[in-house]
Amino acid sequence: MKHFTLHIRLALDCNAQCTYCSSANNASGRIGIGEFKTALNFIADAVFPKLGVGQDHQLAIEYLGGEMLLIPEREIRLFTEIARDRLGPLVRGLRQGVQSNLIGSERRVLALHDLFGENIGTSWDNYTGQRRTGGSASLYKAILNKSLRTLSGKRGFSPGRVIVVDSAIAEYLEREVRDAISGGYDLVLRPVFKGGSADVSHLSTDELAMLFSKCHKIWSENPRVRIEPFTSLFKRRINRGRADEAGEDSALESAGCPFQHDCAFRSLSLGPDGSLNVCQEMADASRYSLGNAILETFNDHVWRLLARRSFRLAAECRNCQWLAECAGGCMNEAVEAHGDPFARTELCPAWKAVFMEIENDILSGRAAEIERVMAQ
Amino acid sequence: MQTKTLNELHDINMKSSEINQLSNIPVIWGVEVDEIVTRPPLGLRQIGLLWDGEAPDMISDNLIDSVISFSLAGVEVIVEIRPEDRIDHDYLLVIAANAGFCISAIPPERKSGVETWSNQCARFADALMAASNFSGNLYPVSGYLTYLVMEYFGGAKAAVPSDLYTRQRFAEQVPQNWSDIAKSHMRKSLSDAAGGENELKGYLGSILKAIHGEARRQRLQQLKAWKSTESQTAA
Ligand code: SF4
Ligand code: SF4
Repeated sequence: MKHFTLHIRLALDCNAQCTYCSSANNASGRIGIGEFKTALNFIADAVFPKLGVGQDHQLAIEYLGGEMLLIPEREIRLFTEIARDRLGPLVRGLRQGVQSNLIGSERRVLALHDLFGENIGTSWDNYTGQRRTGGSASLYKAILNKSLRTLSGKRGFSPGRVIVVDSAIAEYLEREVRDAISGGYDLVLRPVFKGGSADVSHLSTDELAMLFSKCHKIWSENPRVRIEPFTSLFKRRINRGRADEAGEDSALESAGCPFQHDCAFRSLSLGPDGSLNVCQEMADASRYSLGNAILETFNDHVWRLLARRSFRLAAECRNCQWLAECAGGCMNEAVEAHGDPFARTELCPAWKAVFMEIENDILSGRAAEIERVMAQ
Repeated sequence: MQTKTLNELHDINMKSSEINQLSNIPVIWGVEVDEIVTRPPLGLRQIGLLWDGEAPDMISDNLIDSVISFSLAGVEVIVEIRPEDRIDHDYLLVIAANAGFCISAIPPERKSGVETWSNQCARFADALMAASNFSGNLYPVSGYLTYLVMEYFGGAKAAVPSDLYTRQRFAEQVPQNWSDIAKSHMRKSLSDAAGGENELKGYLGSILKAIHGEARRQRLQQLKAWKSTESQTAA
C-alpha cells in the first residue's frame, strides 16, 4: 500500500498570534465552495493521474491553518463531504484529519471531534508563552487547556501535540518530553521553520543535535507514548532487514515526512487561493509553485525537477549508514539551507545524533526492552 | 501506421520514441531513451531502458524522467547496464532502492565481451551484499542468489527462470559456457563479500528465513483482509 498526503488550507486566517507562525493574525478570507469543487476536480482529473495516485493508495487529507475553528461548522462539514465524495472513490482508503489550535468554544471543539474523530492534532508550548491569543499567552493556555479537558472528559481523547522547537523552548524541551510521557499524550518535536515569521530564533544544528540526543534518552527510558522523531526513527532502524511479520506497512511507508526523498510522489498542498505546492512547508516558503488548481494549471516541469530528488541525493546521504531510515531528510530544509532540492538537510547532525543513540540502544541490548514497552 | 514486430525493432536498437509502434507486448528491453514517453503502449508490463549517464555516478535527466513516467504508468522499469558501461555500482543500487526500479547487467553480443560482462556482474554482486535497502531485482545476480539458496538448502541442480524478462534477456540469449563464467565470477565475489564460504552459507540461510517471513507476512495480510471484510459484512 502506498501513502499520499493532501494538505488543504481552507483559509490562512488565524485567531492566534504565535511568534513563529506565518499565519499569525492573518485575515485573508477562505476558499469558496465553488472554487473548492473546481480545485478538487482538477486535482482528481489532472494532478493525481500525473502523480500516479490511485487504487494502491491510502490518502490522508490534512486540513491545516490558518485556523479551522474560524470556519463555520456547517461549511467544514460541507468541505469534508465534498473531498470525501470526490477523492474517496479514486483511492483504496481515505482518512481526513485536522490540525487545530483548539482556541474555541467547547461546542466547536466537540463538533470538530464529531467530524474528525481521533484525527485531531494540536500545537503545544507549556512554558515559553510564545503561543498567544488576544495578545495574551495565559489566555491562550487557559482556553487550550479547557478544550483539552473537554476532549478528555467528554470523549476520552487526548490529541497528539506539535511543539515548534526554537531557541526559546530549548531549556524546557526535556521537561515537555517528560510531561508527555507522564501525561500519556503523543508529541511531535518540529524544529522551527525559517519560512515562518521573521522573528524566529533558531537553535544551531549542534545545539539541536545535543538537545535531541537528550530527549531521545528520556523517551527511550519510557517509550509508552509516541514522541517524534524518536519513535519513527527507532522503529525504522530496528526493523531494518526484518520481514514485516505483523503485516503492517513499514514505518518508512507510513511515517514518511520529514524522512523521505520522494515527497513529490507522496504529498501535495492546496492553498485557499488554489495554489499548489508539494507540501505546506513549501507553500509557506513560497517555493516551487506547482500551479493553481482553481485556475487549472499544473507545472509539470517543476514537479519533475522535485521528483528527481530520489535520484539525486547528496553524496553524504548516499554513503550514509542510515540512508534507509533517514532517506536524506526534508527537501524543503535542503532548499532553505542550500537553495538546492537535492542537497542534504541542515538538520543532518540532529538526525545523526538520534541514530547514534539508537545504535547505542541496540549495542547495549536496551532496544529489545524499548520494543517491548512500545508494543504494550 | 505499419506495426513492427518486436524482433524487427530489436534488430535496429530500439529507441523510446519507437515503442508506441508496438502494442500488447508485455516486455520490451534494450530501449535507448531519446524522448520521454508519457503514454506507454497498451499491455506493457516491464521495460528495459539502457543506462545513460553523464558520469559513473550521474544518471541522465532523460533516463530519470523516463523511469518516473513508466513507473507512474504502472510499468516496471529495469535499467540495463551494458558490459562496457562505466558506472558506480553502489550508487546505482542506492538510487534504484530510492526510486524503485530494477537493474540488469545485460549480456554482451559477442564472446569477446564475456569477461567484461562477468566482471560487471561480480561488481554488482559485491554491491548487493553491501546494500542496506535495495529490495528490487538485480539481474542476473538476484536469480543466481536464489539458485544458490535452492542449491544449498534444497539440493536443486538447476533453476528454471519463470519470468519473461529473464527468459528473453538471459536464458534464450546466453550460451551455457558464458553463463558459467559469469556465475563463477559472481560466486567468488559473493563469497569474498560475505567473508568466506561458511559466511556465505549463513547469508543464504538468512535469505531463506526472510523468504519464510515474507510468506508468513502475506498469509497474515490475507487473514487481516479476510477479517476486515468479515467485520464490514457484519456491520
Ligand atoms: S519537503 Fe519536507 S516538509 Fe515537505 S513533504 Fe517533503 S519532507 Fe515533508
Ligand atoms: S543522517 Fe544525514 S547524511 Fe545520513 S541520510 Fe540523513 S541527512 Fe543524509
